[in-house]
Amino acid sequence: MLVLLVGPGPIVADGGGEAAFQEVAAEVGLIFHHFNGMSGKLYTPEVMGPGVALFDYDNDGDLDVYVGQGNLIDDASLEELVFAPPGPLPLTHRLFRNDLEAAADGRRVLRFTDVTEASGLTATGYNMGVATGDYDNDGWVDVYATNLGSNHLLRNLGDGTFSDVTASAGADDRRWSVPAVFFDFDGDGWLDLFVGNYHRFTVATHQPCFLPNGTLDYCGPLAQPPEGHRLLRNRGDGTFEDVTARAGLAAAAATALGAVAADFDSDGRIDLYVANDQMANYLWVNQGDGTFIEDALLRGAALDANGQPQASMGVVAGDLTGDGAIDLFMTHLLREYNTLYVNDGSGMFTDGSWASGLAGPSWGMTGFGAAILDFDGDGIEDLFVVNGAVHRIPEQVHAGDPHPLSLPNQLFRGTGGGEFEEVPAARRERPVFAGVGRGLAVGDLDNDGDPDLVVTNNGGPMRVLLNRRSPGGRWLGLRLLERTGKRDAYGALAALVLPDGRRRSGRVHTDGSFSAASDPRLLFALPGEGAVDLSVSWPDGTVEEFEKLTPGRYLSVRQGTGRSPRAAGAPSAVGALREP
Amino acid sequence: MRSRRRAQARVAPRIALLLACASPAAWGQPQDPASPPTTAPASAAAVADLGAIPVPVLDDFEPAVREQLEESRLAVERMQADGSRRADVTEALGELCLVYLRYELMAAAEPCLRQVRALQPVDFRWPYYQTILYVRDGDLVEARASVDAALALRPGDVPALLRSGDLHLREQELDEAERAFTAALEREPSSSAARFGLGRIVAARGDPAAAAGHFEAALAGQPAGSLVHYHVGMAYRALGELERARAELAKNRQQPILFPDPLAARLDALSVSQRALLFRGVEARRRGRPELAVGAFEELLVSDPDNADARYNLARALIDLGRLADAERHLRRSIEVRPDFFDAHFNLAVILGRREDGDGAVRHLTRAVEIDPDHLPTRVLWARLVAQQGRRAEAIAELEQVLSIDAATPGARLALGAIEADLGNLEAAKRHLRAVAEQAAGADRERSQAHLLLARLDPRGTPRQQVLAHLRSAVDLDPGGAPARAALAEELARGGDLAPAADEFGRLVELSPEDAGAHLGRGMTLVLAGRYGRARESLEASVGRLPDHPALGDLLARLLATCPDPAVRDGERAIVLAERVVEVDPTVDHLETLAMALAEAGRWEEAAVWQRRALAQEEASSGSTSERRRHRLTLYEQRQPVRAPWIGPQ
Repeated sequence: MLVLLVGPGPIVADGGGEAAFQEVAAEVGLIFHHFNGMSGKLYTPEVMGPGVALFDYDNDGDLDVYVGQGNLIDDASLEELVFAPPGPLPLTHRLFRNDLEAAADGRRVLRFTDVTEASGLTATGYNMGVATGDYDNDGWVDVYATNLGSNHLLRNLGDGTFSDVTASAGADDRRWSVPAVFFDFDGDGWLDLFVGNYHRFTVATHQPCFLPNGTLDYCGPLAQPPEGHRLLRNRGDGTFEDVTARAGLAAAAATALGAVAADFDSDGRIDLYVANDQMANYLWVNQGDGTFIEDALLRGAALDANGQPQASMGVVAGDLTGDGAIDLFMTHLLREYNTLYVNDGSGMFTDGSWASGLAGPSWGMTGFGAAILDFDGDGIEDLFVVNGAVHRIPEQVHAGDPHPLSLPNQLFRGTGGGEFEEVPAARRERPVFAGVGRGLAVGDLDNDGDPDLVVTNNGGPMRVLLNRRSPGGRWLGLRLLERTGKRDAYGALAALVLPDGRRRSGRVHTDGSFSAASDPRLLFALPGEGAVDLSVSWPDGTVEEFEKLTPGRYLSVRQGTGRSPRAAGAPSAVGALREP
Repeated sequence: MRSRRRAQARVAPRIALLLACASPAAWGQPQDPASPPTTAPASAAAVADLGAIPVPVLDDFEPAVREQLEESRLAVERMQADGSRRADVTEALGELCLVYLRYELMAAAEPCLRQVRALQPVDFRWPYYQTILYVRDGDLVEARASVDAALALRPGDVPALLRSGDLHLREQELDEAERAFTAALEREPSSSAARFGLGRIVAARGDPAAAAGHFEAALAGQPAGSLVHYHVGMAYRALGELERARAELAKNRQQPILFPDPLAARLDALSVSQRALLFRGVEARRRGRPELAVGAFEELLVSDPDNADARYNLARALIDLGRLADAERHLRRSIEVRPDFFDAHFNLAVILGRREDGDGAVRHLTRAVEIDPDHLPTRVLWARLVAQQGRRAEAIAELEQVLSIDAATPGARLALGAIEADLGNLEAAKRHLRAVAEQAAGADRERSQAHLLLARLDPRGTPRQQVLAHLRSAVDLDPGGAPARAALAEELARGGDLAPAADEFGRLVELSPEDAGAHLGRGMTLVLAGRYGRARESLEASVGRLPDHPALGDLLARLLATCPDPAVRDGERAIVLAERVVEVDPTVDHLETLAMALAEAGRWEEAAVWQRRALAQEEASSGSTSERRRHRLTLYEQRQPVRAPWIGPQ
């Protein structure tokens, strides 16, 4: 197997060019080809998956990769299939272990091994998305895979294997689920689970759809009635309780494709934002009593600036304007524009898409996965978007492409103040590729302090985009853990205070994008010299400070080991930090 | 995007048209679309370079569309071959471009329009259509350049100005956008589209109050453009008027502001696609225009009467319009064509259920469940109908199974509660209904129904205040639900809370203006509350609305004949009303009312005659007469009117 050696030495696989990212999937052994089961009937689900997750399943300090797989949707024979399956049916979701090694000369050897069979994975659901979280607080990250049909809750047993506990945990949903989010909405220390559903689909009731020009095409979101969503409260005993109705989410059927959980209105409670396809989006504002109130319309995050619903595929939440508030960025369909909802800090949003420079370049694209990242280490957040059509592109149809939905990806460099500029394709990735982009997960695969990307392509190969930022830049990685030190503190907010007094912020999460779960660790590029200080707002509302963190490494920060902000002059709690 | 499309165009298969009279050299090289050809072609044959326009592969197209596309291209080819005039060939080429554009064959339409624009550089149409093409293709830079070119040729063209303003506004080029919208408004002072554009500019400049003014002017000119309500709402939000903002935002039905655009209409009219007709109808219905949808579907069915999708969608539009019998006919036909049509079975069952054909409804729902057993709302509806037929055990089993699949199906639990109540299992019913009622926000209609059922569940064993609390919750959760409001009004009236009861009946009348019971309740409670003037006013309105309803006419007549307030009494009007009622429905009570009216008018003998008739009719039907009626006869014989009790029957 080829291996890729990365930093601090030169990239061995390809050192040339000016591109920000190098595609290295084959070189590092992340070889996966999505099978969508298409047989010419143009079932909409076949162009929607698969999901992908970056998570450390074996707690060895590096990111492993879980990727969902498709299967047959109907009883088509192998002869009817447009693409042959890559193995015997039914196909199983795949797990790749990261065997990152540090070479003697300091270089890192990035290599993945397919451990699906060894891990005992039996997940064969027609996959749409993946969420990750340690739902049983045992220190091992679990997986929730959303599917067309029953979903999978895969409990990480801590010995390299997983057990499908979907039924016994009460975590199933038999509808067409796409986004899922682990978040502790009731603040009891156990991760709850939101599952978003799309619209009704069964082979039995499928009806063909047509473009305005009369040619057969994939159906749009409103061709069938939207589905309701599900909120599952973690009982803390390994099972979930369906509180959808009690929490107020029961009547909110909608075509959910994306979801993120964050404290949008800065009241200390985690809210939930759901991106709905061609329907008004939902902002479920957490009332703190186990219930939510949907208020996206007045808060300006339901519709675009014209007052129209958009396709709303992928959604990410983060501070994209540099003012500390959690903004929203969403990807949409051709002839719509990707939306930047700018948060004023109180949970009131304004569509700032056109002023940001993000709208125009997306007008001719259909976006799915999105990631907020500082790819160039300038301290300003950037955006990466993977594109792929959902309606067949006539030119590709006529060119004989059996899966005529390919589009290139896009990278937008933040220039400060919430403004962005598109990075030319040749400076984005090497080699430049187009695909039916869907899932996009961001994380530091090689632990070198810059963000890498993993892209899933519907009916195509998984891509690994390794950040080629030259080594030597200063950075700090943080893993924020709740009090027991076992679980990532989803929802915690970190504020890094630089030596010159400037602040950088980050939020612990794995959700967002489309169909994907990302690295929960926070990664900061740092300017200049000197140690930095850290302030953390934990999900339970407490605030702690940590002083003089040394850059150039990943540190674990556990709740309860810092000092209260009021106790100025107290001893530093740096001793509580540890390298993972 | 544009470069991507062009790259794809290069790899798309092209069919080089070998024209006998035109050599490739004569066609020349592709030209800059912005500049006219430097030398005029020597002959008509050299006008169009069809070889530079990719030929779309039409295998997937409907036959009619394919024929139209092929014929349009062949027309150009033929005209070139037979030496037609240059202007005619160019016009035919332009027509071909538009057909390509209409079917969104952009790889062909784009070079085609570039070519025809180069051939007719002073023709406004081509850069205008290029604007439409580039917007649809996602190339906003080219779109702006095209609309600018169009305006250079025809500076005052309002549709072009509006498109120009919109494109500049997207790019936050507010001054340019303002110039365009202002110019459009100068030429068409009533243009809602221009007002809407100016409002958005002012809003972007941070003046929400001025923006709201523009938006309201746009809405005044085009009330159907509900999208503007969104902008009004956001303007009020910026002004801090959140409740007003919320109300405006809720009015947005996403209907855009339209403007006359003859060239775009000409483009739309080019489609001969039956599937496009279906698409147009579905879109019209989605946008809340069922009457337009009906037209599109009916047009499609003329040429394709066995199109099950068209019939089904036509039925849905007819349901929207309240034409249930027509809808039923089309649904049945669509099922004949496609027996496994789930949605058609479901909707037909709903219609049959409404007209109380329970067997038919259950039959079609059973079929729908067979087709798609995963659709839980269908199974809930099936169970409810089956329960109505007395098959409660089957219904309960089905609902429990649904809840085991998805516990968050409030409709299932509500139905279970209702069935248990019917069975007299009050505790079980309460348990289910409370579970639904006590949910947090969301599923409000089901929660309302649960409260309503809880209020009615045990009338003797439930304290009145608790009943009222349930009913008020039911109304609060579903303010548009008539049954809950009617129940609340009746309960208030029953307990003697007449003024609030009258108010609730009044709201019920607003909700259900054809509900005679609501009108009667309002009138009766106002009378009983002693609000005689208001009672007369509202009953006059009710009789005006439902002139053929005898009970309403009788109530008004009796009020006018017997009211203690002389300002309200009007014997002559009471006689007219009472005579009309007696003519159609001569009951004992109605005969008495006529007698009261005659007495009020001083026609004592006639009053006594009608009162005796009432007594005789009462005796004939029940074998006796009531003392109260005999007393009234005595009053008339003594030339005294009835004042107390002035309303009856008690």
